[in-house]
Amino acid sequence: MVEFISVTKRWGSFTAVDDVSLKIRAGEFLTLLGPSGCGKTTMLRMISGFEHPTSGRVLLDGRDVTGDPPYRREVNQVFQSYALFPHLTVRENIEFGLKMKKVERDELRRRVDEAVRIVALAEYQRRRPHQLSGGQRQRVALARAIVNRPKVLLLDEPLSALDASLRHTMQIELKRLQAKLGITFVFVTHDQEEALTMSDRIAVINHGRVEQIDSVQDIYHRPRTRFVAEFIGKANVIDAAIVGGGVENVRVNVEAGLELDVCRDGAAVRGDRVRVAVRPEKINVTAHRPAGVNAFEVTVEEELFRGAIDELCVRTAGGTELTVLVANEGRMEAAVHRGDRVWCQIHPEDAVLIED
Amino acid sequence: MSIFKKLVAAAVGAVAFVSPAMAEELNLFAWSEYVPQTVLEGFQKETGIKVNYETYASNEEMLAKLLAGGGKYDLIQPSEYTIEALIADAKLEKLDHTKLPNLKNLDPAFAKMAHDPGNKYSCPWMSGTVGIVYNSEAVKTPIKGFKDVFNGSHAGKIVALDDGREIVSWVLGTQGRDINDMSDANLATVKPIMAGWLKQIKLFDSDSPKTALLAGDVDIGVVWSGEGAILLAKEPNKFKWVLPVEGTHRFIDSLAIPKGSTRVEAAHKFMNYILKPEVSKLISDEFPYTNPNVEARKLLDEAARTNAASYPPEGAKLGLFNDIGKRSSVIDELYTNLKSQ
Amino acid sequence: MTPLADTAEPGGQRPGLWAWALLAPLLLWLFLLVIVPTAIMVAFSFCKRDALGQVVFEFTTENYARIADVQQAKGLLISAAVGLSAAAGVWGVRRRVGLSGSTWPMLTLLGLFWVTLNICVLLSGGEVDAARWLKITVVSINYAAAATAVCVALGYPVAYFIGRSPERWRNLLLMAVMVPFWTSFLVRTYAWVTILRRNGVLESLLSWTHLHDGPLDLYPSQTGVMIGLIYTYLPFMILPIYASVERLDNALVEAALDLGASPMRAFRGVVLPLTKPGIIAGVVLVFVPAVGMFAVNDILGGRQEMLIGNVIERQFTAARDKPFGSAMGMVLLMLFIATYALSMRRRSAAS
Repeated sequence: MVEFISVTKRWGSFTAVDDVSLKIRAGEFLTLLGPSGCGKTTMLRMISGFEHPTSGRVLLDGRDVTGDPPYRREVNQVFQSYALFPHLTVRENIEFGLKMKKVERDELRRRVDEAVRIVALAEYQRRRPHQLSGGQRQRVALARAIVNRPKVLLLDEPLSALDASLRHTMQIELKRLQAKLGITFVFVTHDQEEALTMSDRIAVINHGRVEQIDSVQDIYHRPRTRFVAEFIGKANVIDAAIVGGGVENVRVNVEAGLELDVCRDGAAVRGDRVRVAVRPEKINVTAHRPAGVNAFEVTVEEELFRGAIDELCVRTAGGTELTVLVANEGRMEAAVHRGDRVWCQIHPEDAVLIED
Repeated sequence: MSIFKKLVAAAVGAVAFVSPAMAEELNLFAWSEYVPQTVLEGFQKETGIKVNYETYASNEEMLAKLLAGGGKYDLIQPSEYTIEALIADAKLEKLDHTKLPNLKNLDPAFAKMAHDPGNKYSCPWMSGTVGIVYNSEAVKTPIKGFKDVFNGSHAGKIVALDDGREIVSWVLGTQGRDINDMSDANLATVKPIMAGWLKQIKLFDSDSPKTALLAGDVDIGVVWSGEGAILLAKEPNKFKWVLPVEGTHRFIDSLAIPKGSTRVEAAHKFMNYILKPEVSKLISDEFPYTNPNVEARKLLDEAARTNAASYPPEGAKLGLFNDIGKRSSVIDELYTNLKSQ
Repeated sequence: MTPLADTAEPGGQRPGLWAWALLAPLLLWLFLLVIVPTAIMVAFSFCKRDALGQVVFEFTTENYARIADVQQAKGLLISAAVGLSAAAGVWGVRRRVGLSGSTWPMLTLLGLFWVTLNICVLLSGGEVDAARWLKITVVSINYAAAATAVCVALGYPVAYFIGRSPERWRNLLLMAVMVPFWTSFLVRTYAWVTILRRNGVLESLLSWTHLHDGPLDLYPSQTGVMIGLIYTYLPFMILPIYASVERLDNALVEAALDLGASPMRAFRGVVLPLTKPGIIAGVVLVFVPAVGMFAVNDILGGRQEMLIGNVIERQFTAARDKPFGSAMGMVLLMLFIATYALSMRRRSAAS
């Protein structure tokens, strides 16, 4: 639905977006995720037309819109500040886009009624934005955008101004809405949890480049780069050396006496020094040596009680430190404590080779 | 540190600036373009009295400020009809002639004027007329009187005094009527003629009408004789002076002491000072009106003494203004209405 | 009710001694420079004057009678009736069509009223005494309105440009707008004489650049007065508009463009309504003083025409008729108060 072809955006010597090529599929919920200043908002603004690429092209539904102004693009945006028109009522705000397109009166009334119903604002139509709560304003902003039936709906950190519980509700609402309308959503956020909760796919952006674009599951379980591994969830990143290989797995040496089988997963391996990412919850802890590969003994250095889970800091014989999350599911006396010596095991599937 | 020094210096300066104000002062309220700075300085040198000179552009303006000013002024410079009104309302101090020995220098005719016989309340400063001055390079038709100025062919090229009573008197003169008769019948005659005249005037200026003539904004002026005399002195070939054949206003501006002045003594000193022939000559040099001081006239050079604007020929048709009392507001309303047509 | 209303309730926060102490200079200022002079003006307007022009404290209504003479009252009544009925008619039509926005009916009403008043004055033009004060007032308001309109047209783009320029430029540009205030207003106005007069700066410049040769006759002239008024009051238009433009969230403009509005539509639909408070403030700041302005007219107009400001000023100087001047001042003041009250009513009705 949206395609970036070698898009670069520079301001003077600063490169905000650096040679990005990217395809956004019709009907998907794609999140541009990254730290602030990474260029994700600039990318969004190049889709909406508020910024134009220094080089490269932007396609919308197959059509080149690189030079088009915002008002000639069939996309709509929900702004971070909502940007509701303070001098218009809720209903007038929602009507705005249709009036600009000179939609005929009955049609306009029908579509606005529908949008108002979808966001459940029927009784607030005559109010002005300053008379609404944050969540209601958010819904007006949504309705004002979707009433135009855009090909793509752009959302620029729309939930950042809401408090935690309301944000959670809105996440679910947005997700449902997207499923119901079938519109392509491009969502910008720096909040990885939000991205994981809502998206079909996530594009992780760093320093103006796309680090990885993949399904939510793959982004989490199969991070390609150290940045992705560490930005999304927590990860143990272990330096290792390749010592052997198979079809699916390669064998790496972490330290003297500790070798692991690691999922290969197509990652490019240059030279023999590599990095391995392992999610803390993917490390199994047992009191006794388990059967199978990738098992090793560690000392518990620190134990942080977190209610449903325990966070353990463990150290291998060779001094490698790992963070492990353990579910507090057994009986109380079975819990692990500082100074205990226990066994860890990592399934080869859960250890991923990553690039720097 | 340096800021502190500056502040101290400023404070000292301020004190130094204020302290001369403790010396004797005299508040003179006079016509603009009428009192030379050299005279004020000479007076201060001789007597140590500092003169503060504030100006006005019409007798009416002076009256308004004088009556609102509450004794602020020590010397005023009204014209004959205003002196008459002020005397009638007991607004002037009687002059002490023993303190004005130089009065002897005046032309005795000035002690016989109807508005203040014997100069009991006022000391003549200058006399003058209202006349026509024109740029002979631009105006080729002969100009003899008001009717020639306002015949329509000079519309938009005329500067005139911004003074309703003056203009009414000019119209009355062209109609052969008494310039002091402000009866309804007379004003009814004046109104349509004056309406036509005002439309032809480009600029109304009582302060310094010569400026517009010199700058070329206009070609003809109906102005004070002193203004005309300056133009004649500056460019004798270009500017010509005409006393209107229909007759015109002759004015006498005199110094007077308003009631309420606290510096009557100093005011007398100033009057006596300007009556000195050599001082009076300085005034004539800069503002060449008709000098009533015969001793001063003798000191003037040939050109100044024969300046047609300064010294009108004997037998010219001239008339003084009388006080017209409350009729002045009728004149003012007429003037306002005609201007806004 | 809003929380603001709560604090005004008894037992809520009342201004303490300190608050009164802080307010004292303002109250004193208001009292000495607004209330006392106005009271004096009211008193004078019912007094008589003597031959020399001193105020005589004897009650009379003759000053007001002089302003509202019979002929003029007739003209005023006719024009008011025609204007109001026409305006009401248009208002009704617009309502039926469904365009009963809050601003336009009022403006239409005022506008139509004004046009009819102007026509009436024009028709009575030949007659000297008919509707004389009314006529001067109408002409003065026309001048002020025209100057205000031009100030809006010139000032808005400038204010918009400054408000939208990068922050580091803004202060510099604002400074440029305010630089004229460093010089006395009278000096600046006389400078315009030098510019506009025959063979002055402007004519020399035009003939030097071969754009125009020959006299333009701008000094003294009514065009000159207009130029002077616009020049004098333009900064007072720019500054409040700038303040409202600067406050305008750019995201709102983007939102409008995003919703399919062309830049022109976005301007009309979003920028203009949201900067309206600035425009209204500017109009008040320009129009009200421009109606009473007399110095610019005296200096650049060559005293050819008398505006209401000149007439009132004259009453306190040359004409020496303070009671009449006070009465005229009162009438003008009432006009402003009435207009202001009307606009306030409209605003409260709109919200």
